[in-house]
This record gives sequence, C-alpha cells and structure tokens, in this order.
Amino acid sequence: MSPPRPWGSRPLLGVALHPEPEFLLLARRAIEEVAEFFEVSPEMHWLDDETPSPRRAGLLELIERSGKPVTGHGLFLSLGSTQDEARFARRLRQIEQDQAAFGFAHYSEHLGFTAQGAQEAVLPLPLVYGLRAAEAVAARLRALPTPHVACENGAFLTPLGDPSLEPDFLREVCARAECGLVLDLHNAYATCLNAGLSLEAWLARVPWERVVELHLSGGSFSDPAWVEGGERLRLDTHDGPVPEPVWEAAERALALAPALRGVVVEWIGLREAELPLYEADLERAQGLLAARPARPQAPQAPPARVLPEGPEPGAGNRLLLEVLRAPDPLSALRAALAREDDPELIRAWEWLDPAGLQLTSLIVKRLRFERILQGAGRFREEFDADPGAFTERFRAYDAASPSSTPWPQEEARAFAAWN
Amino acid sequence: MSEPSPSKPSLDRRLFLRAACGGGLILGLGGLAALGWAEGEERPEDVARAWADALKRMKALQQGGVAVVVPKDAAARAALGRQLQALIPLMSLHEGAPPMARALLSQVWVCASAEQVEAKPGETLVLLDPAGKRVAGVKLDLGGEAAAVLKGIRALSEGEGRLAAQVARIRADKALAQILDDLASTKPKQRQSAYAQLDAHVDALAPALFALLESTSLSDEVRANLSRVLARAYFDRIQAAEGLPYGARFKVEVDTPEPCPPCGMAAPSVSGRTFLDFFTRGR
Repeated sequence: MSPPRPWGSRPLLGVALHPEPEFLLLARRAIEEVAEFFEVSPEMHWLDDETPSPRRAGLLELIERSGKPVTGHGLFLSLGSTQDEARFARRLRQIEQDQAAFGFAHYSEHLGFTAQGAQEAVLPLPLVYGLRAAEAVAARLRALPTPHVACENGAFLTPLGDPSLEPDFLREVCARAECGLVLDLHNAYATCLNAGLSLEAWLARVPWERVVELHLSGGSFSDPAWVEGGERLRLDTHDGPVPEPVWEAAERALALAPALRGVVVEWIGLREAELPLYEADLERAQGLLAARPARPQAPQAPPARVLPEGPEPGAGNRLLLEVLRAPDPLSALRAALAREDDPELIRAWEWLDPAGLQLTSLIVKRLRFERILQGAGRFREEFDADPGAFTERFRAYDAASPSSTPWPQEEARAFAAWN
Repeated sequence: MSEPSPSKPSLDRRLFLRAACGGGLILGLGGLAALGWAEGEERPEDVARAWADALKRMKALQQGGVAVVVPKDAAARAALGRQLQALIPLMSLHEGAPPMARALLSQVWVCASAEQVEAKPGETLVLLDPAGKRVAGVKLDLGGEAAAVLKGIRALSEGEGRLAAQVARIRADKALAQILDDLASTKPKQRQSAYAQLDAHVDALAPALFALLESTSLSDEVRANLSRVLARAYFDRIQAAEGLPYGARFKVEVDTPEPCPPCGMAAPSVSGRTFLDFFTRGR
C-alpha cells in the first residue's frame, strides 16, 4: 500500500494528470518543474470494474518517480444516487484499490448524480438542493475509504430548484459529511453565467472554512446550432485558458480560505499550439499562490438560508433521466410532470432552463456515442466512413435501450449486440 | 514589445520538443535544430555519429533510408532545421499515424552531408539502399506547401515500384510474411497472434503495414487496429527520443479503448462534434 506523500504546511500548485501520452509529452516541463502535486481521476485508468488500463502502470511509475503527492478526483461515484447499492459497493472497492496504489492525500468527488438504478448518464446531473438530497450525498461521502474527503461544486446547464442555493447546499453537505469542499471556480462562473446569477453574490455564500482546493480551468460556449432557439450556454470544457473573471475569483478565494491545501490547473486535450497558454496559466497561478496572505480569514458566514426538504432524490433523478433520454426532452418533461403528484418535485422544475435541458440531453447522448467509439476501433471506422448513417443507428439504439455502463468497451459491446 | 525576461528559458518549448522528438525520427536532427549546430559551426562529429547510427539501423532492419542533405551555409542549415521541425507531427495516437509518419517509419531518415550520400547539386533528399548507397535524389523544397512536400517524398521513396520492392523484401522473411498474412486473416485467433508479435517487428514491417492499410479487402476492425499499431510505433519513437516526465514509459495497447472522459465532459471530441451536427440536424 502506498501511503500518502507529505504535503507540507502551505497550499501547493497542482496539475491534473491525464493518461494520454501526448499530454504527458507536451506538459513535461509543467509536470516536472512546476507541479508540486498531481490530481488524478482514477476512473480513467480502468477498463471496467475489474480491469486496470495498461496506462495505469505508466502513470503510477511517473508519480512514484516524481516523489510528489497526489490527490484523487472521482468522476462517477454518483453521490446523489439512491437504490443502487451494488453499483456503489463496486465503485467503493475500486476507490479502495486506487487509494492503495496511488496513496491519495485527499479524494474529491463531483456533486450531482451520474446514475440512478441501473441507468448510467456518466455526466454529473443536477440534484434538487434540499435537505433530503444533502443527506443522501453526505452519506456517500462519509462512506469513502480515503483519508480526507471533499465534494466539488457542479457546472449544471439547467438547475433543479433555485440555483442560488448551491453554496448553501454545499455548506449543508460538508457539515453533514464533515468534509472539505473543492471549489471549482470555472464551474461556479459557468453556473452563474447560465443561471443569470452574480458570481460575487454566489461566492459570498461559500463556506470558505471548508474549502481545501481550488480548481482553475477554461471553458467555452455551446454552438448555437445545438439547441432550438440558438441559445449559447457556458460549458465547463476545460479546453482553454482560464478566463479573467475566474482569475479574479481565484485571487479573492486565496484570501478567504484558511484551510486551503492546493490549487489545481486543469486542461483537457492540450494541443501543441496551446502550450504557451497553459504554461502562462500555471505561472499566473504560481504567482497568486506566492502572493497569498499569510493568514487568510474566512468571512463571517452570511445568514443561513433554510433549504427546502426537497423530493426523495431517487424520484428526481429518475424523472430527469427519463426526460433526458427522450428525443424531445421538453415535451417529455411536460408529459412527465402532468402525471407527477409530488409538489416538491413539480416545484423544482419551475427553475427549468429549456436550452440547458436540451443541451444536457445532447451531452449525455454524445458521451454515450463517444464511449461506443472509444470502446471499439471498428465503430470509429464506421463512423468516419458514414457519420450520418452511424448517427441514425445510434439514435435508434439510444431510444431503444438506456445505457447501463460507464465503461467504453462494455458500451461498445452492448451496441454491437443490439446491431 | 518587451525584452524577454532573463530568468525564463529563451528556447521555445515547442521548438525544443519538435527538435528533441525529431531526433528519434530523423537521426542528426536534434543537433541540427536545437543544439546550436544550425547557428554556428558545422559539427562534423554530429554528422558522422548520425550517419553511423543510420547505417547500423538500415542494416539491422534491412530497410532503405532517406538522407536529408545538410547545406554548408549556416543560415541555410538553420532554415532546414526549421523546415524539418515543421514536417514532424508531434501527436498521433487519437487520429492514427499522421501522413508524414508513413515516410518517417518506412525508411531510416538521417541528416547527412552531400558528399556522404553523393548528392548532386541542388538535391535536398537522397534515397538510400539498406547498405547506405545512393539510389536516387530529388530537388524538393522542404519548406514548400505540406501536401506537395509529402507528395514529393512519397514519389521518391515509393514511386517507380519501390514500395512493392520494399514489401517483397519484407515478405522474403518467412516470419514477417506470416505476421502480415495473419493480420489480414478473417480468423480472430490468427489476428491476435499477429498483434502479439507486432511490438517486436513493427519497425521492420512498417512499409508493408502501410501498404496493407490500403488494401480494400481489410475489415474495418483490422484497419483500425493496424492504424493504432502504426500510431503507437510513431509515438514510441518520439517517446524514446524525448521521454515522458521522469523517464516513465507508456505502453499503448493495440486494442485498449480510450479512457473515460475526464471532468470537463462538456468538451466534445472531434467525432463528438461531427456527431452533434448530424444528431441535431435529424431531430
């Protein structure tokens, strides 16, 4: 078992390590000379529930040789799910193995749910910010077999319930789970931009004494052609430089978070031409950390806002998954709400952003499509040969059979069997 | 424009990477492009070492070579270094081997003096046989438009029946011929056996594998796997020259799926973007 490596007393600068050899080659200087710790998303290093990916060994070797500490950042534990105990147990077993192999100094997981029952969405989806959901999330965080645990705020494209309650919900979750908070500032920026909230007001309600890590990344806007009405929403694509409002938020956050352990710069799919921008972001983050006040102080907590009780989380999750799978999510939602009798659940949908719902549905479907291509080379070839025909095959498959696995190979096998 | 800070390295990391990685693909390029050779003295010892390494490699693989003729003029050498760097694609795994990889993996590439390879005046590339003897030369502007450069390189190395001759030479080795036959087999067991042997023989087989990729009878699955094998071989050359952080090595399996998407899942892949275009059009 690999014990966590020493962390030190000041917050460290971290780099998100992706298992793509191309990234490692390009980011070599950042990894060797700039990073003080690494963030690893452990699910990216498994082929299924039992089989580690061959790349995992290379990454473990790299981390071992570096002697630097490492943190785990989970993707699809699905904190907000209910009634999937067997799945949850499998995920915990895998996290246990990852903890033993990597020696995470702390482990964080995304807020939201990625699965409900036997159905998998992979993308973290919104929860109704209520006390029942807070307890469900906290119970899962308490069960994590890692030394320190934290929960990360989301970047949801459509809220369920009042989106301005997210910081209060996070406060409630962290208090119930007695855990830390990973504050992804681009997620907060995207949430506020999409919901029409003030980022400053959102940040004012953050439980700063709980913040253990800041995440900095870039993002992009959705293509207007993707939703009817041509609306553009901010996406947490992590594929560009950190925008200025996020830097401003980071500067503020560094002065307010007394328990901060690290700042992670995340960039997905780094290309050669982007390397100077990536290195500039790291340098700027380094500068901000160096200029951090010696004794940051969390501001006095604002008056507590009482969270509603909220619906039973499983009911909200099931309804959202059903709607997202439909060819026309808005019509499906109207039909679903017409037969719904839980007033809490109906109330949550009053905050719906129709464009956000359509876009969320598209992303869930696109992720499933990408899993199929990732899982079998022949499907990549077939798609390249005739993307229109392949897309129609996928449309029929997706409508006929909900996804039951987050793993690319298993999804590709299911698609092959259906064909 | 402000002066560069003295505390920062003056070497552009991207140029350094291309030069360093290129060292594993074009012998002698590291010296030409990154280590000052291009800017100053001629460094005959680098030329001699690269040439000796190339001869050894050609003999071991029984593979021909392509010599890049290094000019005597310092400014022209510097320009050549930049042109070669621009020709070397750094990334490849997701999209299969890039077009230039076909040339770089199918022959042993080396920077050489005009005298070493008997280049005629104005020739920029000289094709070599496995013993390092001149076969043909070409006056190709390596700084020209990429497609034209690729076409010129392909004409030199594969034209006039040269690819067929290369494949015939490879097939003369019974073990290599068996691997090629197994790769194209309709029986999964035989294909698996071929995949298992590819690691050890991909350098020697490269021209035949690229030729096989063009076969119309190949199934999509075999074609995809073959494409990944070649991409991995290309990446391994880069990896061997530059190395990953802390000297770690990554083994990329032929049939290993890409990892699950990391956080930031809203970012579509290239295929994902095309999918979205078609999917939203059809709703």
